[in-house]
Order: sequence, then structure tokens, then C-alpha cells
Amino acid sequence: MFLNIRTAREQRSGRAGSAAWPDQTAAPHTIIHDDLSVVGDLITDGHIEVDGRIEGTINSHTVTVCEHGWVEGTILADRAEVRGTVVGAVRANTVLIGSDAQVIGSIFHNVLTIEPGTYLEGRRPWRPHIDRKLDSA
Amino acid sequence: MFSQKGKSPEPQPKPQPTVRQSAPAPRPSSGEPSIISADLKVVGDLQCSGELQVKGNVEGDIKSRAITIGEGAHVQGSVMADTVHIAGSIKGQIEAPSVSVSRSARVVGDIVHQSLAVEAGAYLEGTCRRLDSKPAAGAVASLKTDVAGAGKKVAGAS
Repeated sequence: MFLNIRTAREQRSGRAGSAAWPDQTAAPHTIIHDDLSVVGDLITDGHIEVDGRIEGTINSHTVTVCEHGWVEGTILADRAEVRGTVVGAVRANTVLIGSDAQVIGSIFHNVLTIEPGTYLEGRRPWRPHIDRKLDSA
Repeated sequence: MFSQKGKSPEPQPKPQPTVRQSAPAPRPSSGEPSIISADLKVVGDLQCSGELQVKGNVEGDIKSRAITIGEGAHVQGSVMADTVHIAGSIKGQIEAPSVSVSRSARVVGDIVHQSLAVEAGAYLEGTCRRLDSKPAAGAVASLKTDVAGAGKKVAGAS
């Protein structure tokens, strides 16, 4: 399990899918670099990679918050990978919290993986299915 | 006899994770453009210190160093940058020293520029004025003094 996570981190620089999310090569890919800051909501059915600052809701199929990423608001996704900071709720079917990640808010999940070294504040309730359309931010 | 060889090292205290209290300071641009992909809709403002490529929908203002609005993109709001390249649809004001509009672009709004390039076939609806132009009020005031000056000349002549 942890070997897969290390491989995903190494392969992330390729930007064309990773061991953790192998079916992403064809998915539309949004990249928010560390010099971009968004005040507002992002809505998509593809993949969002956040390395900058987002103040608002992210509703996407897959979300990756990278090391320098800072999200203030709710993340609503099918799969969420957090390696930066999230201040707000994370609601996803599959959640992966990497080491050095910081989540201040509840993590609603179906499958949750937490690496050692994270800072978590909030509840982590299990919900059988999270629907991005029905779940309110 | 019972000397302790190979004493196990004392367990190192696990480092406490440092809590980040606020967002990291904005970093200088890494050179790679940020990409708003085709199926992304942003309802809000974007502020970037580097390069930004918009291929999706943005309802809000965009401020960046360099902006490229791709062919299928729709922007509703103002765009302010050093360099703007437009190939998509924008409804709002564009303000940049260097603006280039390609043939697939559709611009409804003013273009405030120093250098403007427009390809044949582009849809433009709005005024084009220079970035360093005098404001409208100043133009009216100078027109009034011209008229007054002309009136004095006529009065003097007659």
C-alpha cells in the first residue's frame, strides 16, 4: 500500500497520470501553480491539481492538493489526494492524506488512507457513498 | 560478563508536525503556466503572477502577467495583464500593454492597449483605446477651450 504512494509521488512530476490514479492520462487536467490564487468556485468533471491558493469550493472528479497548495473551502470529489493544506471539509469517496498534509475540517470518506506525519483536526465520518451532485458544499 | 553490547539507540522523539497558520507567501513564478482546462468552470476572480492559460469558462476578473485565452474558452469579466493573447470568447474589458487577437476570437468589450494586433476574421465589438490616452473628461475640457479660443478670434476679427 505505501509502496504505491511513494511511486505516485515520484511519478507526479510527469503530470500524465500516476500509479495512484492511473486512468487520468486522458482526463482534462487543470493545474493551479503556486503563483495563482483563485477566489471563487471551481467546477469540473476532470482533474484539478492545486499548488496555489483557492478560496472557495472545488467540485471535481479528482483533486490533488500539492505541497504548496492551500485550499480554504470545501473539496467535493470522487477521489481526493491532499499533500498540502485544506481548511474546510473534504468530501470524497476515496481520500488519501499524504505526510506533511494538514486538514482542518472534517473528512467525509468511503476509503481513507492517512500517511504518518499529518496534522488533522476534525471528524472523519464514514459515509457509504458521496455524490458530488447531491452533496451540498 | 553481562556487558551490554550493541545497546539499542534511544528512541528518537517523533518530530511534531508544524502547523501552518496561514497560506504560504506568494512565490515567484516557476515559469510553468497555470492551466484552466476546457471543462473547468471558475466562478470567481483569478490572480496570477506568472503565465495563465484559460481553456475553460471563467466568470470573473483575471489579473496575470501573461494570459492566453484559448479557442474554446469563454471569459465573462475583465482581463488585465502585461501580455494578452485571445483566441476565444471574452465579454469584458481587456487592459494590457500588448494585446493580440486571433481570427477565432470574439471580443465584446473595450481593448485598452499600447500594442494591438488583430487577425483578419476576428469578431470585435467595443472601443479600442490606448493605455496612456487622456481620460474622456480631459478631452471635453480641451475641446471647450478650443471653442472659446475660436470665439475670441471671431470677436476680435469682426
